[in-house]
Amino acid sequence: MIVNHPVRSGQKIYAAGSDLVILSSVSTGAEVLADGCIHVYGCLHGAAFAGVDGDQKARIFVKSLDAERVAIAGLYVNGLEFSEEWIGQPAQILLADGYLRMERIAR
Amino acid sequence: MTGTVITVTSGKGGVGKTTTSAAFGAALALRGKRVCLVDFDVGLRNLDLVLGIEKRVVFDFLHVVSGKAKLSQALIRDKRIDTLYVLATSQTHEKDALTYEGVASVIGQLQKEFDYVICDSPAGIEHGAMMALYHADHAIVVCNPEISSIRDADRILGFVSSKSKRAEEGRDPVREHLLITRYDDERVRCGEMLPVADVCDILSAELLGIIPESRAVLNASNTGLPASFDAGTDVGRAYRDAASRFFGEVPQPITVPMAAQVAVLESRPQRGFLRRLFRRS
Ligand SMILES: Nc1ncnc2c1ncn2[C@@H]1O[C@H](COP(=O)(O)OP(=O)(O)O)[C@@H](O)[C@H]1O
Ligand SMILES: [Mg+2]
Repeated sequence: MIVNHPVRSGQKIYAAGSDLVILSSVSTGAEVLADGCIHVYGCLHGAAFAGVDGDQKARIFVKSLDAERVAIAGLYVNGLEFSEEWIGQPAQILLADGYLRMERIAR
Repeated sequence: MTGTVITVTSGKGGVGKTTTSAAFGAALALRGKRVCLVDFDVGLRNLDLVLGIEKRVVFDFLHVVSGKAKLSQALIRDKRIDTLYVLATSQTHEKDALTYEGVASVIGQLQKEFDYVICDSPAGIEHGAMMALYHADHAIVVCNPEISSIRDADRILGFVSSKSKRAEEGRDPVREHLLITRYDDERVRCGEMLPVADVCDILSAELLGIIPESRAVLNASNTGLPASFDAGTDVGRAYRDAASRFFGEVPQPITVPMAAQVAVLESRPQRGFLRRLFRRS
């Protein structure tokens, strides 16, 4: 599923059975969910939930990380726990050994 | 030819929607366009006050919507700008009197007679605000550089893109414009307000203009003049600039007042802090 407009506060988008690609930003107060992976090519200010139906291999890719919350297969982390150096950076979030892991991606 | 519908909206109250509807509409009319301002703020009736025509209102928007008066009986022509008209709202009618069919019919009639129909939206995200944005071709989202105002603007932008007639019919989306109003150098400098660049970044919408906080707005409304009428004032210039930018005429970037530019640089360390606050709220 491909979304080519900003996802605004109060909006919620769910890609059932597929990946979700967002070509714009996700605002604070917005939620994006997918059974597969989530790609955000703008800034992720809101919440992103990948692998909603339990897929532990799902990942979240963002061009600029500033999320309120991210989750993969039900395991979540609050954005306030991100250390300052990650904010605004391109990153991927994946599940490894039962923990959520953040990794830098090419900038 | 059908006229273009421009909805002035914000989510939050008191940010300057009515001031902007009158000033922006007048700026278009001063360029020779035929403009009608429609007040959707049922029960509060203030567009007519801002324009100093409250005593001339006999029939209003709701009379026309409910078929109790003809459009020609309710349209009030401005005394100074002869292509500017107003359809005032009533203080007495129930909010629910704005029916989909009634509003659609009035907007349709106005589009035949005017180049631009400007809808002044009430605050909030309820019926009145939805009716005001339903027919929009363009939405001017008015926002003060403050966190709560930005959040509400963002939410209303979501409704603009999903709840308009254009969205329902799968036509080209409503053109979204961001107008930052009540911009105060001093408050940006001390970190109480967000710099313009951050507001645009958070809202990802096209910037139409920056209107400074100014006494000229109060003076204008006290004398029943739209704030754009006097081109010699700071707000007058800013609203006229916004109008020319609306027509794609001003290729140079928007000028942020000098003090604010300095503030933008100085407030960089604040940025993370304000952003975090924004996230948390
Ligand atoms: N640029 C400005 N500078 C100073 N005061 C302003 C400005 N814009 C609006 N105001 C004042 O703010 C108040 C609310 O404005 P209004 O246009 O009625 O907002 P809204 O329609 O969004 O509720 C009014 O008293 C108005 O005079
Ligand atoms: Mg108002």
